[in-house]
Amino acid sequence: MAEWLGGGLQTRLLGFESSPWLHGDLMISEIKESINDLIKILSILRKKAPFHNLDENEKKELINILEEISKRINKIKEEIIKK
Amino acid sequence: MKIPKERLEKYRNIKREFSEEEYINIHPIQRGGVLTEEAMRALIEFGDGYSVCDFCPPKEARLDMITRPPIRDFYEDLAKFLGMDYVRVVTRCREAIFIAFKMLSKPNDYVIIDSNAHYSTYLAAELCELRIKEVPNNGYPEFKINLEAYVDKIEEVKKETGKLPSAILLTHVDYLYGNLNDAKIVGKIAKDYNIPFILNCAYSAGLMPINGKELGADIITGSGHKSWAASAPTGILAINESLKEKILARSKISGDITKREFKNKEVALLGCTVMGAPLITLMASFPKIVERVEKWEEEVNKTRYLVSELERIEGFKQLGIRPKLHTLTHMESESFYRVSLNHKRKGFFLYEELRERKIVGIQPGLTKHFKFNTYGLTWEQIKYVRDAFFDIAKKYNIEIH
Repeated sequence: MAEWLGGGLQTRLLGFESSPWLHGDLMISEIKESINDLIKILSILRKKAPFHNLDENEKKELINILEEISKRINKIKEEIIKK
Repeated sequence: MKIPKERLEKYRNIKREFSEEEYINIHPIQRGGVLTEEAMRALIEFGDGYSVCDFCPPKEARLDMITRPPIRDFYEDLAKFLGMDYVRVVTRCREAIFIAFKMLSKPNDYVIIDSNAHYSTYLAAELCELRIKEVPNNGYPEFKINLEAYVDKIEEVKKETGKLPSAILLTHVDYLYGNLNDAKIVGKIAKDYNIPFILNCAYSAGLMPINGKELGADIITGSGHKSWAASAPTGILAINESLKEKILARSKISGDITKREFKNKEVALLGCTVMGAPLITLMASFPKIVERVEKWEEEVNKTRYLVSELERIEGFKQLGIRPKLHTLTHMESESFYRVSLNHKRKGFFLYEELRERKIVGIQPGLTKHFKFNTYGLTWEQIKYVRDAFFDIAKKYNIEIH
């Protein structure tokens, strides 16, 4: 019926409510959060283009984000070692 | 046919030459489409092909019915935000205009459009086999549309054909001069004649507050990649209840052998439209859009400031309505044109001088007049752009008053 109506592949194969992957493992979520944090940095730098002259508060903010990324990368490493 | 490996290499690591992180981009059509942080994140999450279709509801298999991610809610919220009843996201604003023309008219009908309309408005009419009547503008230097003249054009069509035009279209803010039109005037005329009124908000909705009902619009079209901090291609088609049946008519076709029917599909949309990354960026940026339209006045103030500063340069004159009511600006620059005549790089000198100062977006080769847009730039960036122009003027001995 779903195919007849033009429904998506997953709907047809797995049923509408199937979503076992929605809660991914820690490694994946840390990788994605790290990317998100890097994007946050890019967003800040966009507002400071072209020379990225940062005031003390902005420097502090960027360093905090980088430290957060560092922690996440360590967690990713730990997860890989555990595998 | 096999493509040589070395030829394929150039596609593997594509990078933008003028990234938003490294340059100040004042391109007239790009400022409102700069992605928000949320949209950049969403791109990574939903970049894969049909990523938004994981939970396409089997009983109502249609993009606007998907609840995970919350597309259905988004369409409702977007309609409310625009002061309209229904919304569909399509590929581009021009597609929204085409759909409106197509569903409201028959070949050879007339539509009335403003003479500052985007070229794609003309092409949309052409593809629908329509005839057009243009509402004039008042020419140099304002190029202001004579909105009251919509009445004259309606009467002309009536006299010529014995019937009313199928629709009238007004470009809310035009791409040539960034002139903002008072849509209420045309909305009233449309209502008096009972003609559907299409308001093209490609350069306004998503940047400034828009309420379709207050403006008297029956249809609003918009552009995600121009004004909603979304990736291309994204267009917005917003309609009011009175036109729902016409514009969003359902499929009636049936296969002669299979008897297959697609009764829940909306014909003019050819079923589902923008499924994937562009739609998701539009959604992800939406909360910021709702906030940013409230700051429109500040954006216009920045533009007015830059215009007043640039006009201190000999031979610089802003074209279009004064003072500026929009951030897209058309500048006449006679003095830079004179420089170009004797410059070894001719008209390209301005573009190159700006690029050296990390500013891009002015069309290469233009000096006599050029367009720019300041939307979303910080005050610091605005002043940097001003200083760069002053610097170039001084370099070529052009006076700054």
